[in-house]
Amino acid sequence: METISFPVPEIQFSALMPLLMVVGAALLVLLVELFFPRVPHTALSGLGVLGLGASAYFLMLLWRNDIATFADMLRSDNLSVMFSLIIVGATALTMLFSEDYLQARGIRLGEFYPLLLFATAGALIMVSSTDLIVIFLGLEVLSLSLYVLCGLARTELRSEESALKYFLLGAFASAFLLYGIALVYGAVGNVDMTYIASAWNNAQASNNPVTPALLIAGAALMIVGLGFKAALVPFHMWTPDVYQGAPTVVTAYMAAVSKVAAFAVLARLIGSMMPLQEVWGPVLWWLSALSMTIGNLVAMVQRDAKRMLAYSSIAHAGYLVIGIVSANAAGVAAMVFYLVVYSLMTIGAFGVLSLMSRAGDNTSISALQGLWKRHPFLAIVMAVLLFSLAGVPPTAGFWGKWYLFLGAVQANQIALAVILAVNSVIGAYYYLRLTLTLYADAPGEEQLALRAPAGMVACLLICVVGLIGLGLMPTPIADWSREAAQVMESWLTAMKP
Amino acid sequence: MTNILSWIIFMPLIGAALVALVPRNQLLTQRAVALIAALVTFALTIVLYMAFDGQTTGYQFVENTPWIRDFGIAYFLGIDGISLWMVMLTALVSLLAVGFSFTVQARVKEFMIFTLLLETAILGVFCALDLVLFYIFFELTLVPMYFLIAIWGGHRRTNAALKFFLYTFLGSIFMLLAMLYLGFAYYRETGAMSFSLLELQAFTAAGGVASHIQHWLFVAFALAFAIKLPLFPFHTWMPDAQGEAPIAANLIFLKIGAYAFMRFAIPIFPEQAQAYAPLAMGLAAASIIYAAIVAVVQTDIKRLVVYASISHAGFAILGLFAFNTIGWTGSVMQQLSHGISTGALFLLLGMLYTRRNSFQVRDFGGLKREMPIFTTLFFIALLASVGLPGTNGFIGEFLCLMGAYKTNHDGLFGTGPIYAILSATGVILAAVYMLWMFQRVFYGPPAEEKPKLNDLRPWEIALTLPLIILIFVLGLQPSLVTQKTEIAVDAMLQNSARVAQQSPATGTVEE
Repeated sequence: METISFPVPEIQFSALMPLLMVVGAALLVLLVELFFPRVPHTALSGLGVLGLGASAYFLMLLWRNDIATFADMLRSDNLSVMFSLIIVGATALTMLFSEDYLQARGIRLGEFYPLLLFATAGALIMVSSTDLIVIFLGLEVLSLSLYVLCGLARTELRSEESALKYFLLGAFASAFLLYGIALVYGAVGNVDMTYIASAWNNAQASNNPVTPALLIAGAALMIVGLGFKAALVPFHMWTPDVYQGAPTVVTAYMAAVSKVAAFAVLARLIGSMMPLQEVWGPVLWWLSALSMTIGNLVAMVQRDAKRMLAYSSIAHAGYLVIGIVSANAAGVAAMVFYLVVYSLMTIGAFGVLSLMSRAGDNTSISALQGLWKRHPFLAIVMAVLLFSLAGVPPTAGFWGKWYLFLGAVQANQIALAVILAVNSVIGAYYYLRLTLTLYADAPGEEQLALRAPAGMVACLLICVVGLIGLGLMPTPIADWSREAAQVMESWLTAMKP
Repeated sequence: MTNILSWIIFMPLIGAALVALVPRNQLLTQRAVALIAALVTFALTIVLYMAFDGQTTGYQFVENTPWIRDFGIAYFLGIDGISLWMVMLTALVSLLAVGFSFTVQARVKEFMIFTLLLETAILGVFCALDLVLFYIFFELTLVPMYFLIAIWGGHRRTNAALKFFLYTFLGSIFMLLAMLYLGFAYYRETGAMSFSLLELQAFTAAGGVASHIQHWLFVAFALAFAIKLPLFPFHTWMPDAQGEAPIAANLIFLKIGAYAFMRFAIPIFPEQAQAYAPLAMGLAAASIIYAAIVAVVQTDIKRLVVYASISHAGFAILGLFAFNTIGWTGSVMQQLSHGISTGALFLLLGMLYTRRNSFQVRDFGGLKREMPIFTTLFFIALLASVGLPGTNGFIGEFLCLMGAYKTNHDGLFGTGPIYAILSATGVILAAVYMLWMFQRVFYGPPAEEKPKLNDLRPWEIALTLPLIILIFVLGLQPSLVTQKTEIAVDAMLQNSARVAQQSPATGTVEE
């Protein structure tokens, strides 16, 4: 008999705590809902927010502690902590206003909160690992929860369509990603990105060069898979339909959290393949330019506000890629900073829309007419959000663009910076047109009074105060972003051929 | 006293915050709070004027605290003789604008908030000495202006507001890119970023940026300012935006374009500015003549005044790109007197509008008999705008033309004198469109079936009088202004001349 000796890896639970808190909260909510079905749902969402708060607390403790545990499958460095904090924060913001929305739409289901928390757990796994298989697992947890969430409004055809579309295309994209991982494994013999990164140096030292063909093919397939999640042109076809059809709370969540997770992985993946910059550089350049331009141009002609924001989120994904194309620490830091700003803007904007779409399913731009008279607070909030999306100082959106510009100029990507500049103007066009509708006079019959629930008001206040505060004082978050990006710096600089 | 500039800039903002706190139905309190804020701001600028030392070079009342350390962005304020006048004029016309806006009835609270916000932004533009700070104020002017046009504007306000915002946003975003490039080039040389006007000026003067790149950077800056000014052919947003804007916005939204050229684009890129001088002078002459011709055929009095103001802006640029003391002094005078005389015209037109809800020439006639006081005041403002000797308009235009005539460099299609002569026809055309309009509106038969109009009330006269007095004071005693500006003008000119001399022919300097 042969005994299989299996070394039990050392486990540092501190790195696992943020994740455990989220999963624990999810399970707790699930049990409470099962055994006490009469418990008010605000208590459920409260529990969820509490769990997220605990998770954020443990994340803070992990800041500046580099930990790799579970045989290096789970990694907690500044970059992952930063991304995790964005994800946890975005989830909490979404939770604040979801209960009221679900109730108004008659989809008051206890499953909503556990699903949202599970999705968050998946996203957290994605950003805090460098192991491609673990990342894939995280992606699947995130995606499966989202498929269900999209179809939560079972009685609505559009919601069902959205779920099915997302599921079919998402499964397709997952397959791409997985195939890509397999090819990368074939090329270097490992699925850990730190290993892939160091394989180049080792190969040069041992005179045994890595065959790049397989690696390029693998990376290409993975970019397709991640490009789908991040909604980059030309992998964006699902975005408008799914964003429009899904319940607005889910859309807000998807637009923020999914994107953060996808960009976290994309940034690390690209960073681990710096010697191949000549190959992926132009590819990402085009992805970025196309996403910006097409996203903005198509957003311009939309009549539905939700669809318009969907296309605008494609454009913003294009902006974010600039940070990766720049391939320097400043670029990655810009991306992290922009993700913070972008999450605040997107969740806030979809939040306001979620109030509008209460009665019936009307999110057409004309439904926003006269918001100023119906609810001045909402109109002011929306105006700030839209100006920030357009990148007008003194809002945080301006500094977001500033950092991206800076990274691009530093990497001598002047052409891309100019494209971003032109796109900012196109973007400003439709954002501002939307602000005009807010102040235009509404047709008489739609003068319904609006009531903003407390959770919504809290969420919007956080978004607006955050955006203006960051607009006046971007330094703290920018400093953290830079510190987080330093994790990548050794990869980015050491291996430039 | 050390941070008086901050107080001046943010006093309207404090006023706006206070207005926001006033309950919605107390209209009079909202108006009064706004007026007091504007009044205090203006009083502070008088204190500033008293304390200003006209004999020393360099910036005064400097405040310089680091704001965003990583990029060397500083909260860097300071004024010289030129910006002193701009600040004072802005505070004065803002006060008048708020006073006049007591007639605004719809959404009073928001109107006052946006008006005060606009004042803060414009005052900030005139005081900022850090490029990023300047840019933020420069962009901040867009937001209140946009809302003022979009909510309280004329019939086509929506399109006008959007066009205004996008056009100017397009210009300034490329300037932002150029600024960043410059800041980063500075970083590569020195190891730290900086956006201080003084440091960047020294940096480009020392050849820190290759000449062909400086060329592009200058174009980006110049484009932003030419749009803002506006200079032909970038003027198309202006008639719509200014034509539809409420009077208060017309008054406050002064020529920040010409000032920005003077303060930023030319000092940072003196060599490029001189290389482009022929083109700029050509465009200035085209602006002057084109806008004047278009003004002749306007049937809307307000649009006519807007075109007249485009024409006047051309003079300011003509003098600026002559690169001599006369031209620059003329340019400063022109910017000031344009603010005063066009401001007075806008104010009076606003008063006319409150009586008949129209700016159309055909709706008026024979006003002279109905409103003698109004007619007198309007005629004085009009003559100042035409540039009659003895009024402020004459000094500015004359000096600008003189500067262009005496300039050392050649124009695009010939020498400086040709531009001076061409532009002088603008003065003649100004007389044509203004006097013709005056004749149709104030003489002739009264418009049919229209009720008689009342003459100006005492408070309206009181609002107009400061500008009317200034027209004569500056017209007869221009040294009042020039004694404070001449040192600043000389310093700037010497600096740009020195740079242009030091560096070899354009295009050969490399890093």
